[in-house]
Amino acid sequence: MTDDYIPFQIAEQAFVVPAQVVREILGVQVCTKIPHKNGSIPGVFPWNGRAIPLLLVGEALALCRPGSASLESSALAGRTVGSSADDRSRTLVVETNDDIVGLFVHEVREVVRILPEAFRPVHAADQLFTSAEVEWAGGRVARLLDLEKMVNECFQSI
Amino acid sequence: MSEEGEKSRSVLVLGTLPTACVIPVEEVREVVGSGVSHSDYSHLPIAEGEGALPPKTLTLATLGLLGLAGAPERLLVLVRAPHGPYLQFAAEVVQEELQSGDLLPLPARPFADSWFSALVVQDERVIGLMLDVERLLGRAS
Repeated sequence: MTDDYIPFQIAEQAFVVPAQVVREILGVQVCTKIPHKNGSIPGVFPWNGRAIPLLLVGEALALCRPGSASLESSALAGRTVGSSADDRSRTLVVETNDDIVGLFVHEVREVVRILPEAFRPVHAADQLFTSAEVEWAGGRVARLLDLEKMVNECFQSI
Repeated sequence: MSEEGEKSRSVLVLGTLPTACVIPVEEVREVVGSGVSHSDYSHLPIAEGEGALPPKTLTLATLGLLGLAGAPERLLVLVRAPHGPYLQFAAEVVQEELQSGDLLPLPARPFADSWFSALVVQDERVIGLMLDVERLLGRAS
């Protein structure tokens, strides 16, 4: 386990995920819609000879409403291309357990090193899929995403 | 990318993205309906259409589950068995030749119960989702 993390933002909130689970950082991907009831997973996109699900992190965290003017809604349209999306939007291809998933996020930053002792437990009950938090720039807090839990719960709700 | 010796597979692409679906031609027995010229499919193992829809036709409302709703500009009727259920689509129809590498299977998680089995790409371009006809007909029977 390294101390390297990749920061990104969703709706003005800062998050980090361990760098070791990130396989690749891509631009906004063209997503082919697969009808089902979970709006946080609109469909799949091709990656390295396989089809992998796209997970809208903002939707999963209930930070973005479906159908809003957010970039998530353009991904939900099924044929998102870079020209219609924010230049700062990215797709993080992550591996958690045996799943490979594309995470649609905003404003991915360079890798940062965060020592374990810098993390503190999460107390707020509404910090969904957050396993810890750390002081961030400007007095803000960055949330450490519990990827395994988020992916499991989103997959099970399809 | 295709490998040497790889067999091609004829498919029909129904509709247009983002709701296009793809089926192997061996699943197709008959194509009928307005706007569809049978001569267009003379090279496929498809019988001449009789015009009347069979009683076990699955309606577009049923297929709305697939997100395939669209204007009925063209009609495609499919059947795998002489007396089995038909599938009715309203869609533009295009035939393509695929290589096995063009099929990217959907991951079992979270799509184990999906109507679709694979993402279909051609020349690095997504052309649709492969319809799991077996599953669809099995549930509809």
